Amino acid sequence: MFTKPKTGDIIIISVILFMAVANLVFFMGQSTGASTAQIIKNGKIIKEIKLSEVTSRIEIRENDQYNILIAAENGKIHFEESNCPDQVCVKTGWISRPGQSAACVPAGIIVKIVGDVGENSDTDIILK
Amino acid sequence: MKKLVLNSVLISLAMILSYVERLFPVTLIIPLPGVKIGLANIVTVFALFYLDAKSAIIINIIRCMLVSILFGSVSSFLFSIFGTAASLLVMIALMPGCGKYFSMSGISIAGAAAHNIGQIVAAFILIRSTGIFSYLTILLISSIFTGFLTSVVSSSLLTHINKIKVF
Repeated sequence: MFTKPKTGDIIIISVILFMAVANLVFFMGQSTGASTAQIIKNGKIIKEIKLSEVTSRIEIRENDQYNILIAAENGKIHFEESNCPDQVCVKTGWISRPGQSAACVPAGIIVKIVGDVGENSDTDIILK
Repeated sequence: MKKLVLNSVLISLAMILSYVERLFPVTLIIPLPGVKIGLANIVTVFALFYLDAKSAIIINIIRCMLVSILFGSVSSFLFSIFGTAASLLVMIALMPGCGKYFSMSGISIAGAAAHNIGQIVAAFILIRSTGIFSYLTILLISSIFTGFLTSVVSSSLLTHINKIKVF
């Protein structure tokens, strides 16, 4: 008695499918990976790179106290070379997602990726 | 008194179903995070049809609170309360047309879809990134199947309960 299909059911399913498709079309153009890498030296942003727009390799050199080479290519960025003592920054490897960061503490340089909303939250969300 | 007992039984049933669902690895069959069968929704649909809207609301609010306190976190409470509120609103709104315009499956599917929309809204409030809406498509399509599954179980439950006349 309850599960006999009615015309309204078809309308409900069509509305849901329509919303699903409309949502897909609406958000397809938006890239979720519109992230920006900020290179911060001693607390000041010295350079910002839109990672999604990086087509060819970009190299940034910092030769202040230590010689550091930061490289960005197709949507990711890393510390390529550094002559700092602990090499933590180089070992961090490539970072690409908003919230990730790599730091070279001896040189005071942080590379940090922020999302498209420009928030500085390090954690997106924690779910259980 | 009978109603109080039935409500309490349904709350505990809904809680256990929420818990069992966490143990059940749906992601092994459908490799998409966030897709759940919504077993606890069986209780909601049952309460809505067998009891009334008030009982369904009470059962769900208490279930959300207890499940979050026992097994979850604050963010999981936000997720479930948003999903539940949206799902209940839609199902109660559609209830008067049941049997005439909509079947139980239709109402259940609409509720499941609304649940997912509510959860995405909760996620949006937490993350504040519109990117989360791109995931809604998958959830909406999955809700058609999970909503239908829920209604099949609830309707067979209702037919049997109506036969034995416990309450």
